Amino acid sequence: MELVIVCAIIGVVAAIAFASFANRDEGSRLAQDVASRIRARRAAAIRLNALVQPTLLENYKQPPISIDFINATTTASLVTEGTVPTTFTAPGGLGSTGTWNYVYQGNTLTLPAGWRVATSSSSLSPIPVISLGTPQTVFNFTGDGRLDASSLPTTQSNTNPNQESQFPAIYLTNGRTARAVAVHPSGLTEIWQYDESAGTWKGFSNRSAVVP
Amino acid sequence: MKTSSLQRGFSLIELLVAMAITIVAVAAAVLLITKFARTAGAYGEVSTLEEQRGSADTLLRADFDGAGFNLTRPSMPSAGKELIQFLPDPNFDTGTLGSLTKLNTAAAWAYSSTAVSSGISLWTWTPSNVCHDCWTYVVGNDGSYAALAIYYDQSDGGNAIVIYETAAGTVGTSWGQGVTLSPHAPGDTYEIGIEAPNGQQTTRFLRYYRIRNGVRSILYTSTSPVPSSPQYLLAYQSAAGSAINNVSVIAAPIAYRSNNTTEFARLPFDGGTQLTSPVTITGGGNSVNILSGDKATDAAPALTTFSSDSTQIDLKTPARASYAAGDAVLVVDYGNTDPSNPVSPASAVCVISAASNPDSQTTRLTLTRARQANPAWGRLWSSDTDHAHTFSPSETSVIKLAPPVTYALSTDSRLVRIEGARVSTVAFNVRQLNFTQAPGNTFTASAVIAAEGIETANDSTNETRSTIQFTSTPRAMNLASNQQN
Repeated sequence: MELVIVCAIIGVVAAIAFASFANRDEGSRLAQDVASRIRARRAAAIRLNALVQPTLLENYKQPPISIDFINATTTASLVTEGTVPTTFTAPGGLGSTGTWNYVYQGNTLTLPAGWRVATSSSSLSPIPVISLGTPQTVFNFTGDGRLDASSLPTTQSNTNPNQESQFPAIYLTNGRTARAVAVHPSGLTEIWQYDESAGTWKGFSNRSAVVP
Repeated sequence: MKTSSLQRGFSLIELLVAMAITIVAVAAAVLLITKFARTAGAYGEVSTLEEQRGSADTLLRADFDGAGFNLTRPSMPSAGKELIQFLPDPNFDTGTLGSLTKLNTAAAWAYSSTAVSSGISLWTWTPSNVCHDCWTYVVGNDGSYAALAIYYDQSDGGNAIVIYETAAGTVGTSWGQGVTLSPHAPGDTYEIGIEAPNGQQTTRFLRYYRIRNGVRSILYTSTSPVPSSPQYLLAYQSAAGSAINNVSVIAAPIAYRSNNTTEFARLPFDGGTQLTSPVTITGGGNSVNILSGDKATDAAPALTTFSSDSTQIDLKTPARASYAAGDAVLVVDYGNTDPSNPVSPASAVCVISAASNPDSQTTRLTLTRARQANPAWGRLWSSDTDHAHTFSPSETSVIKLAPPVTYALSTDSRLVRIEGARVSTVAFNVRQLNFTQAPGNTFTASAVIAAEGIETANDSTNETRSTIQFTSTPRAMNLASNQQN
């Protein structure tokens, strides 16, 4: 009888510990997942544009390749090759912009219980946004992997290399803490973590963004 | 009351031993988990480092390779009679235009720097008075050729002439093989003509001539196919001192096979730097400015004069075009070296304030001039002298500009890309950044990036690093003759 009680206690403690251990960093894993999907979409943009870019004799433009975290379907991987890949339909008129016919495969982004995508600074509140990170849920990539102009937030004119300009970022929160994935205009992703105790955001190497 | 030995419980020693074992086991488990977590973290840092490297490499290459788009033009093909310049070769003296002299006895061939792109041509040369195995070939793009060779040396009594074609072999000689050719005489000049069809010939054909004492005579008319265009001249001599002189070609168009001089439009100022090339390296190699035209908009010829007081310019609507208020254009006049109509090169950066289409062929731009006080993107401007230039429609083109790009290192070791007036991070922990230019408008870029250094080593000798290293030859800055941007 005693042995059964001890085993039960050990089992309960182990289950609680395991559950706690497994979920201790779900925010970071979610941020990593979001970042990897953004990186994959950027790579797909480079690949797809290389496959179907217009020749000098073909007068059309290609729109950017996008990922929309509000439309979960678009967060699955893009099929770039194979028998049924993502294709491009050239426009009818000279100089016009064609359209992409997206084909997806694999899992879409799944948010852990209690987590959500904050679409604006108010939906992130009371947690503040990164001082340089404008909330955004759609990212459009050009053929060379940069963020398309349509994805860039307004920013002050600045040519000082020591002062970063405003960059878009997707915010993830469970109401108590938050993570963010910044997508720099160059296409580089950077994961930010909200430090609840200090009330500040920390990026690569624990850096903080500074507004001039 | 007596207690059974089976019910006495644990002794203090047993409990201590059990606790010690438990502590050791827990400590080992914690260390294992910590090690695992640190290893996983380190993998993540290395993975992030590689992402940064790949991302930065892609972007740098794209910017360098696209530099100068629509801001350059190729060396113009020429026409008429031109003396042949041979490409440098250590076995030959090629320093005199129209001459080629052998310096040794090495088996070596000299190549002309120009070629005839199409049509008919006449290749002319005069062998030196002593000329050992002086072969002169007109070579086609497919490798086929027509050749005429002489050997003449009064001291050894040698005197021979031969005509050889790839398709037919030896077709004429001075020793009885093929058509009989009279021997060479000092001062004779030879010609190979690719000639137009006539009453006897229905296609272009080859004909060989000799000019002796001012009298031109036909040596041989070929029945072989003409070497395919473009054709260039190839020459061989076996002895030092043997030479061919007055080597020329009459044709149109005559294109450069190499050594093209790609001409740059006069470029504006970027901040305080007068750009002299679409790729301008500054800061001792630690930063670079890159300028190019917009990839989605073709250059367009101007239709109206744009003078110092003009605010509008009409241009021929290009096939691919997109103009909007706020876009910047460069109005370019490459200049004109014609002595009867000399025009200095000039360009003017302007910002579009309105764009319209008066008709289906014409685009009308209303422009605000970008000067030092009000530069485009806060950085790009033209001098007052350039803005005072009168851009005549016959010599002017309008190029929509892409935002100028600068790569530089920030004080917190970030590689930043400044596109227009927006500063963006490309990579973190950049330990080294260097840009250099090699001859021929070739550029090298190198950068060393380190991992985040939280789970990986963070001292300069042990930290994990990755390198970007590439050479770029921007197409628009290295155009072949008559090649478009």
